[in-house]
Amino acid sequence: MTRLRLLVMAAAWVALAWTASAQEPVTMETCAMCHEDEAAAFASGPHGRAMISVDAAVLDRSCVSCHGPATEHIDDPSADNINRQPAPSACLTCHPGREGMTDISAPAHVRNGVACLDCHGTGHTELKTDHMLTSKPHKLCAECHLSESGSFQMPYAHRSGTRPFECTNCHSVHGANRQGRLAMIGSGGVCLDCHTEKTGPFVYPHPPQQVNGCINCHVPHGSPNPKLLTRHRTALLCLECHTDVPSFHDLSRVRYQSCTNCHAAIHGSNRDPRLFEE
Amino acid sequence: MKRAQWFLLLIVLCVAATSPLAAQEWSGNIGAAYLWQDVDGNEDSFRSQIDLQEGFFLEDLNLLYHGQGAISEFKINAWGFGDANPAEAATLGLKFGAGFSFYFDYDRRASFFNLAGGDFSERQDDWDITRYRGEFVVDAWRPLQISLAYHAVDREGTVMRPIYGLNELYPIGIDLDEAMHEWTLRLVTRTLPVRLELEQSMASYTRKNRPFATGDPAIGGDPDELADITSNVVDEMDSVPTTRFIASYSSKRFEGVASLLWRSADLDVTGGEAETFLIGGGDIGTFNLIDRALGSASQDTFAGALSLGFKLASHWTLRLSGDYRDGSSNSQIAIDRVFRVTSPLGGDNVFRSSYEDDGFFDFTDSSARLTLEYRGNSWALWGGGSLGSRETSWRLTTDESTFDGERDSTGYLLGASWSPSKAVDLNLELDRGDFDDYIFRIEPKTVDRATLKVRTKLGGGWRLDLHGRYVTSDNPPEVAGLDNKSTPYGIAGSWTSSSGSSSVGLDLEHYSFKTDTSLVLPSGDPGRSIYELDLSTATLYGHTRFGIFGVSGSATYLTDDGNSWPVDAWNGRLRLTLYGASGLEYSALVQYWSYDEVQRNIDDFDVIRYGLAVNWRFE
Repeated sequence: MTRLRLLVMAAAWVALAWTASAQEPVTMETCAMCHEDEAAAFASGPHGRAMISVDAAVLDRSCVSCHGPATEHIDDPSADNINRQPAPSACLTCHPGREGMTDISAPAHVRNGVACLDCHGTGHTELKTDHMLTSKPHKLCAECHLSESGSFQMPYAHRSGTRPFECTNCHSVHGANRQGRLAMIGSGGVCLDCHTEKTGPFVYPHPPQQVNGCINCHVPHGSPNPKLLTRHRTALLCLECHTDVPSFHDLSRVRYQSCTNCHAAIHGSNRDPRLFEE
Repeated sequence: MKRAQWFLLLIVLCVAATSPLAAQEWSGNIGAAYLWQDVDGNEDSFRSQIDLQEGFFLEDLNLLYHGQGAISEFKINAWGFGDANPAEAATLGLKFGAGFSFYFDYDRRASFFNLAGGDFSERQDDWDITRYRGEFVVDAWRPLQISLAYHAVDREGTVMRPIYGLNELYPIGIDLDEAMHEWTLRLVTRTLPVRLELEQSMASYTRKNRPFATGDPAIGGDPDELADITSNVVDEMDSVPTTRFIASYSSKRFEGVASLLWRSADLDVTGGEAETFLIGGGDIGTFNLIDRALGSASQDTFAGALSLGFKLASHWTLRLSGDYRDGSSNSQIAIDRVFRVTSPLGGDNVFRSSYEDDGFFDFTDSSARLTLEYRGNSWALWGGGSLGSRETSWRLTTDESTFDGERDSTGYLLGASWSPSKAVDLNLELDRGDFDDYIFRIEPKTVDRATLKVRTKLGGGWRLDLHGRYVTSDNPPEVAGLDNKSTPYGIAGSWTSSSGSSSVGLDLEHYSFKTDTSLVLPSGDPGRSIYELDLSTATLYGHTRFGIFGVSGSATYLTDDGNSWPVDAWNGRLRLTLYGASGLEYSALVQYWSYDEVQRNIDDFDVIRYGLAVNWRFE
């Protein structure tokens, strides 16, 4: 009887232990038994620190959140039964809102197979860049947008000395839900974030700027033209719209070859309908 | 570098050095360089393009601390401070353990412009745009993130340009004093199924630019002189409220984002300007013009955007997006003008005139786009259509008649991508848009665009990318006879070693752009505006490290063979680095630029810069 009782108790204990182990979630501690360095680096890295600032449990579950269910991998450690390179869906589990809506906000990136980890680091190493980017934004964007990147080699371009402006200064990589000053899109959009003096309203606006924005006359990335205009000669650019210029504008004279010599307030004037003065 | 910038940099360094955290673990790097510069040719032309000078500058400063104390993260990034660089930027980030964080960004960019030839040879710029942005974020309460931000932009410096005076152009200077200040409160929900973001900002804009006479004669050689010009004009918007609201939701089958924005701006224009001309150098008399204005303009803008995405089945995605923008502005102005002609013999003639003017500018834009996409395992197909409309109505002065413009546009889009393996991505897209009515005569009736991109990873660290685009747009001869063609295309190849310690690459780009537009010249004769670019760019770059030595460099050749304004330009950079003990790096730098305009040489230059840099990395 005693033997039978002992046998039943042992069986119950084994069953309980098995059940308990089967239900126990895979935590970072479990993974760290084999991947000690990776776990430690992640926990102390930027991603781990961000997770723990939300909730310690988020960091605890982080390995399986990104690399998928690990039960099989624990029983039989192999590269074939774990997601070594997490899919975008893993990132979107925790980043569903502002950054995560890539499927509708940035479909071109999705169609071309550009995934989160093409630009962002995993957090297993310390990165000096913002948003855990693996490099400067202009270098990451240039990997695909070669023509646009090449524009910054033009004689006149938006750059600070040898550095091109970061693409993310003006472009919203994750799409429409990160729009900033939406109201200004038609009349300059992101340009007005720095060139605030051209924001308006003006007593006498220049209609193309109001309707089509700065790119009606300017190319923003780079140009052979010193003022990033879409034409080499200012007069030819202006005359493409202005077909009723008074005849005293003698184009053979130097003073009339650059319209902005007199019409200096070309972006809009608060004093003069001919845009002579600001 | 201005005293204020040195002061800011000093504060940043002092904070880092004296912080109680300093005894704890820091990681980061700091690097500084001194560069000498030899210029052959037009140095101002070089500064107009690149704006680099001789002197010291901060190459890079990154400091990072993180721990478990009251301050969980402390981060400083800065670069550019010093005379050699036209820009500088600094960022301070502080995260407190209790769920608060503070960010502060500062950047200053200088603009220098002074060319000897071309349309802008009478204009000189020497001014800075300085931006400050600070934000205090409260994350302590999980359901809601609250942040308060301050943003300021200042433009200060000098512009030299002509002013139209007594039937002649006179050079003047303008001291710039323009500022924008904005406070923003933002609330973001984090635990609701729908993420809501509400942002309310209040901004003010002021412009108090002050012209001054340079003492130089009239540009056309007129004997009349501009002796004095003064102004007390103030253009001001005291409080410009902007309200922004964004709602977003995502699930496995549906994503949606809606955003709304309202902005209301009221501008006040006050003050006057006085100009004094010496007729015939003062021998004949003086002419005074005093101009006083009282004006205002108001603008209300409403904008909205909606994006919806539906996963119809495992491979199908339907996307619907639309946006709407409505703007309305009104303006009034009353101007008093006094003309006074004074004879050297003492006679005075005063003429006075005044007028009032008003105008308005209204527009409504809307657009909608529907796309359907099928995405298989290795390929995707998509297509869709778009509709758009634009209505504008304006009258800029009381005397002119109202302009009303209205147009509808349609377009379609077809695309395909193929990615048989991680080694190859191919993308082809065609789109077309057209409309019949014109707001401006240079708007194209039709736009056709075809884009091809191929990205390959060939293995062994090799990569080869091809890309090209063909864009045409035109409108009929009775409108403007517009004929635009643009074709950018290129090839890029690179190799990177498995350890990443060596790489080499070559980018070849070509961009041709030609526009041909009918004109009506001021004389009434027909004319054409033809602009032609034929740009080719080749860039060779690489880096490697062997033992304690490292080398990196790049060389770019750019040539424009287009008829409008052909140029040739070179740019090269070489950096040799010696990696020393304790994370110290010593570098020697050489940089080279040349710029050669084919049709003349007054703005050409050859510039070589060379110097030394020290960088210290610490963990």
